[in-house]
Amino acid sequence: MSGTTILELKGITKVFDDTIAVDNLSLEVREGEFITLLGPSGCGKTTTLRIIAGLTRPTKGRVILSGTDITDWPPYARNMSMVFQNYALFPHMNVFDNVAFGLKMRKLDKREIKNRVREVLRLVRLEGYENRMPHQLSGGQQQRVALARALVVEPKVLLLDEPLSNLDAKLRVHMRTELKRIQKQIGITSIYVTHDQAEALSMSDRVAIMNKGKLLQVGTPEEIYERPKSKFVADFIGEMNFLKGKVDITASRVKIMTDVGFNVSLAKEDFPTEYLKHKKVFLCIRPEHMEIYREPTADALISGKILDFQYLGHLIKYFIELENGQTIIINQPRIGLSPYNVGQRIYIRVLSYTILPRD
Amino acid sequence: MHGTLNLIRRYILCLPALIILIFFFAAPIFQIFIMSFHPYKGPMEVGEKFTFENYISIFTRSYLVNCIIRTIRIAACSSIVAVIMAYPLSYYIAKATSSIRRKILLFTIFFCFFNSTIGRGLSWYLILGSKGIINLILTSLGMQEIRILHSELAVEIGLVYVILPFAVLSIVPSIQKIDPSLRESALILGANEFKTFIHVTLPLSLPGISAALSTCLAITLAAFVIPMILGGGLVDMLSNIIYIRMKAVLNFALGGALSFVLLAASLITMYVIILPLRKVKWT
Repeated sequence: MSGTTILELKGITKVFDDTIAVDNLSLEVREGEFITLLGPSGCGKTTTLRIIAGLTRPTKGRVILSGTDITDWPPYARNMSMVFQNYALFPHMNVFDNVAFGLKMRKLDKREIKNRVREVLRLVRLEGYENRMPHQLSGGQQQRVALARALVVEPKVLLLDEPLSNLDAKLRVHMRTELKRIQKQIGITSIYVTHDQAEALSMSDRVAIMNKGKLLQVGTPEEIYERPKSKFVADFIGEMNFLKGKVDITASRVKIMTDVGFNVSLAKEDFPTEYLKHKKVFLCIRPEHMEIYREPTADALISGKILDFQYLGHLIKYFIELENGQTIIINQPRIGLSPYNVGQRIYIRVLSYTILPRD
Repeated sequence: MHGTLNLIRRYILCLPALIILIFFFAAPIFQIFIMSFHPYKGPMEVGEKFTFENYISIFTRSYLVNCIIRTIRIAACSSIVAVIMAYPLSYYIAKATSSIRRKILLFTIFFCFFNSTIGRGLSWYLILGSKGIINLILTSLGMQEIRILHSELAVEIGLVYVILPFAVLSIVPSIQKIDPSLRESALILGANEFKTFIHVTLPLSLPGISAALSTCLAITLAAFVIPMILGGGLVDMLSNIIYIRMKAVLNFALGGALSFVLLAASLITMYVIILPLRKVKWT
């Protein structure tokens, strides 16, 4: 991935009536990367995408494409393309005319249009479908036509608005790999909007997490999962247990104490300096980062009672009540039946954790 | 047995309307159709003999042939003009972001139906007349008075006014039905507003346009009150002639034949005007 910035959002704000859809969002998109805007519905990710496309005008902020301020440009002058959630194929045109639409608008000559349409249909594996009408195609095929129509104009940026959400589960997973293959093959800069974290983590070079119009964290999928910077991100991506801790700072060490018998003592330099002013923190522990023991050991100090468990095939998900009444989740890889019973007292060892401020 | 019961159940919902239509619509039409093939014998009476003479006499009298042509001309012109005028208004209503504004506009259009055609025809009589507002403006500007009343133009103006609401109400839903992402898709793919309209919005609203044209043609081809008031006997359309034959002269034979000529003319006109709309390739 080259490091040059192709698209830059500077302080984008969008206010609808009196609700703030996008709140002072700044983001740099690098050439050739696949970046995902991820967040719950209503977080402003689609509005952000529409602002990039020129379909919605930002209340404040600038959109810079390859160094040019395009904030006031109409959509048709931006040389971008977009795949819509419902595909938005023109129902009165066949596959060829749908795909050729952007090229015709660019007034290319007929021979070249024909060649490029044929080429892009081969790329999305739809050769021979030129004369079909959209209503004669399956959901997956319509999706490919929409993608072909967006790619054939060789846009500077490809925008994708939840393009897989209307497909059934199996096809959705298949199209993920397919989409990623095509994106890699032509190296097109792509901005993908989804609320599906599995999609975001599996396809993206970088993920931008949004909530309530704000951009919370941008990073590679690993960074987002391993080092969340806020409780929202930690909670939204995957599953997370939060233990409340009190911070006690001495000359050289930082002690974090919880009310479930699990305490941490860190060298001061290991404690994130930006959290030093916080007296209260969360110890965040992934369900797969804990182990269950029958007896207490020097490492397994948290005691709890098994409330329930779910057998999920490759793992067993335990719901455990701690002594302070809090319920946590632990995932244990397991072959066969659960070795623990409901109501049984167990002891938990924490393998790794992240510290986040709590206020 | 079970099958018949199901069949009866399915059609029982249509029964009330069906009875009315058969006894009060289909039966009299059929009777008139039969009468149109028998010679005129006297007021409200026809002879025994089967004959085409009523139809032959229609097409051999230039006065009646002219009336058929005039009817089609007036209906086609006023329908096309009405649909062209209705389209931008419908587009505005369909795209109105404020639902209150949309409702006010739609109510205003519905309101036109509450007034009788006679009342509306007479208001145009006043507007277009020699002391009407148009001529008052012209004369106050020192120009010559123009004679609009009792001309085809007057009838067409009156008809456009009558059918405009029908056209709007047929076109609005067809524009509303178009998925907004199709327009946006075209814009992003490089089509400006005008090209997006020509390539996407207009072709996708064609069903509404042809519905509007059919409705307008059906109303204008059978127009009676407007040509009577604004044509003043000088611009009679087929319905006016039929009325005179049937009601004044009581010639049911010729009146019946004229009715079926009107029906045939209506179907042919609709076919000729609407068929091309279905065949247009828009890309």
